[in-house]
Amino acid sequence: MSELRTLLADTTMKVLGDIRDASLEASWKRITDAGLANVLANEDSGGFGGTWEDALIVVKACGHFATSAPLPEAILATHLAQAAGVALTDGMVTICANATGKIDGTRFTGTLRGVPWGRNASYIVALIEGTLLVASRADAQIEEHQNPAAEPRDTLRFEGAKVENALVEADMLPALALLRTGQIAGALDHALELSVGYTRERQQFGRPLAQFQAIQQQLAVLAEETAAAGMAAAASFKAMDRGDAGFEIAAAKLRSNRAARTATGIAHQVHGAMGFTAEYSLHHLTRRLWAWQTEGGNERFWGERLGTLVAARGSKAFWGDLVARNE
Amino acid sequence: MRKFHFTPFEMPEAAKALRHEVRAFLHEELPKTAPATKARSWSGGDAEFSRKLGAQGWLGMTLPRKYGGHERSYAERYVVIEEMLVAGAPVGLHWVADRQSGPLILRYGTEEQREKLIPRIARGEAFFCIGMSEPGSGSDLASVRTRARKVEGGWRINGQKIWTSTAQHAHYMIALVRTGDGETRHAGLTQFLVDMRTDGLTVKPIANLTGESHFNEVFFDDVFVPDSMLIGNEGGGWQQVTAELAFERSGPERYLSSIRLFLEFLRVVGENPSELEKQLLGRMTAEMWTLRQMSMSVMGKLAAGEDPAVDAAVVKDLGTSFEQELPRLVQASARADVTLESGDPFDDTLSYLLQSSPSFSLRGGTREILRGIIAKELGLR
Repeated sequence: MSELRTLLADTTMKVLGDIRDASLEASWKRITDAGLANVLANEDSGGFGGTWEDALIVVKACGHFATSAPLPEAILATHLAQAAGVALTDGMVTICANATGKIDGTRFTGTLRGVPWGRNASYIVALIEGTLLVASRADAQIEEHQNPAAEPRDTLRFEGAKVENALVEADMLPALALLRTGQIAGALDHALELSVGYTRERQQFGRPLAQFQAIQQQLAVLAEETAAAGMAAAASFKAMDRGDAGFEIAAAKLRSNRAARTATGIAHQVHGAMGFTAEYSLHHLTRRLWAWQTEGGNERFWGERLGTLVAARGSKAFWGDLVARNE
Repeated sequence: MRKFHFTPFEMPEAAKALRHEVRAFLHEELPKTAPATKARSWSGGDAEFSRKLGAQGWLGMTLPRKYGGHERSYAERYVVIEEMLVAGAPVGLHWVADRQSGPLILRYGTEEQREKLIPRIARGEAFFCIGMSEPGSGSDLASVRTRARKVEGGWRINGQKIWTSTAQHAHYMIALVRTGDGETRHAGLTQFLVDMRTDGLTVKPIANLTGESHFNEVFFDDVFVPDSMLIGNEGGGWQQVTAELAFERSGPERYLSSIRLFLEFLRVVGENPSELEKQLLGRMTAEMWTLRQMSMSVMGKLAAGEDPAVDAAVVKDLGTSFEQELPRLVQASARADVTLESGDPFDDTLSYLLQSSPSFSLRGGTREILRGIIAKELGLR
């Protein structure tokens, strides 16, 4: 790892570790002070000037710490706004991957659904038919919802609201899938850590659970799935740095969803009833892992997309297409 | 607790051109066989084809030129072997020699052994088998009882190996045998190069459930092996064997064994797949993409001189689970006209892989052993 990347990793771990029990307001101040949302922003605008591989460090850490703030979303929003040449003013910014409505000049009428921390954000970056818009939360009528992990996922309705907008080449749903893939990898890392730690301490039949082969074999699978999700995240973020990452994002979200599906089951099983309590920390990870499998597209969604693509290319092109992604 | 770090590997520029070269060669030289035969790939063999690969410079690729190798990169070798597997080339005869015996001899062998054997491996003329399992010693490899007794000028081996793949075609076996009773179970084991034509050595093929014979029993009745054929250190066999494992467990053959069926499925599904077929294609593609990234990550570590044995165990368990599940999933979603009756290329391929797939998670270290290795790395045992 480069020196700069090590610095980024250290800062991220420190900040996200510190704010675990802090209020959203206090958390966001720490995040802003450390410049974590600007990891992809270019250096001229005071950003870190990083790559997507750098961004993965932050996004993965958000998963690891089950961070209760829209930091991955803010990284993406900041990046997209910059790519579109739209300036963002200070304040919490989030994204919306489910936007409907119309832009008429500088006026937006429509609905933004599933907005992470929509009720708290100052701005929301969304895409409507190739146009990026930055809407102000103050102009919205807000309907509060939450995902299974109790993270805000709000619906914001706008009626002729003034928005900044510009054309941009981007697609929000794959971008959200990419973020969730990174977060899943981080959360699985932590769930594995907790599971190994717990089974080494918990004694039954006169010895630690970790000494039972039945437990060892399950934890090995948990480790394998965690490794697969980590690989999928690393390779898809790297593909973003190369350019077109549509294939990788589809494959990575499919694989990390599967990993999350298998791994949450194992993590809970080896924790017994303790892992099912509100007090113990496992659910901060597993409830997010359940939510994130749906957000950014589930296996059915990406399976159909990838399957359609592969079938259209046919049997003879399959392998050449697959290896071309790395060459 | 140790964490697993799989990092993306970027194929070097040279890989692309080499891949084209290999494809062009396969287009010309690959024996025209049915898909079900191609599905055998590294379980099948063709001595003439092996020699052609040798002539192309595609065996012993990473080994030094002075022993007849080609000093190519690990990545280049990787490209060649994955193209062979995907094409369904009959590469089984030289597979072990190229993958692990050559590198093992280079690393632990004497100068004489290197000069004598590596050039023949690189030409596709010397085939190897691995003598590890015994009737009483499968997953518990350290319990091997085949014994070598020191005699004038060499050793006399007595005992029996079993499940030895391609022993009936191999010129040499690299056998792990007991030469002493050390303080631990892992001590006192030694590797020998055994010429398969030696007096007292008998190979008896064992038919597997499909009726084909890939693995064998090998009997040693006072088989003489000269001192010059001991590999590495007397008593160092265990360490040498475990050093091979990263090579043995991380390659593309650990997730591509059912690729022929995937390609056949894609062919019969055509351009208008059903929703169910799209789902299956999408998910299997995602698995293969991820496994390939992981397998290449291990290759990158091997190339950098690391020993990623546990990473390789992760790749093998995930990879073989995938290639084993693939025929079952394809069977479950195949259209009603797929009857599994012989005579159709798709049905024959599915039928063969359904039956051969149990071996995928046995050969080269069982699933349970691999998971035990991973658990140990996690600090659980």
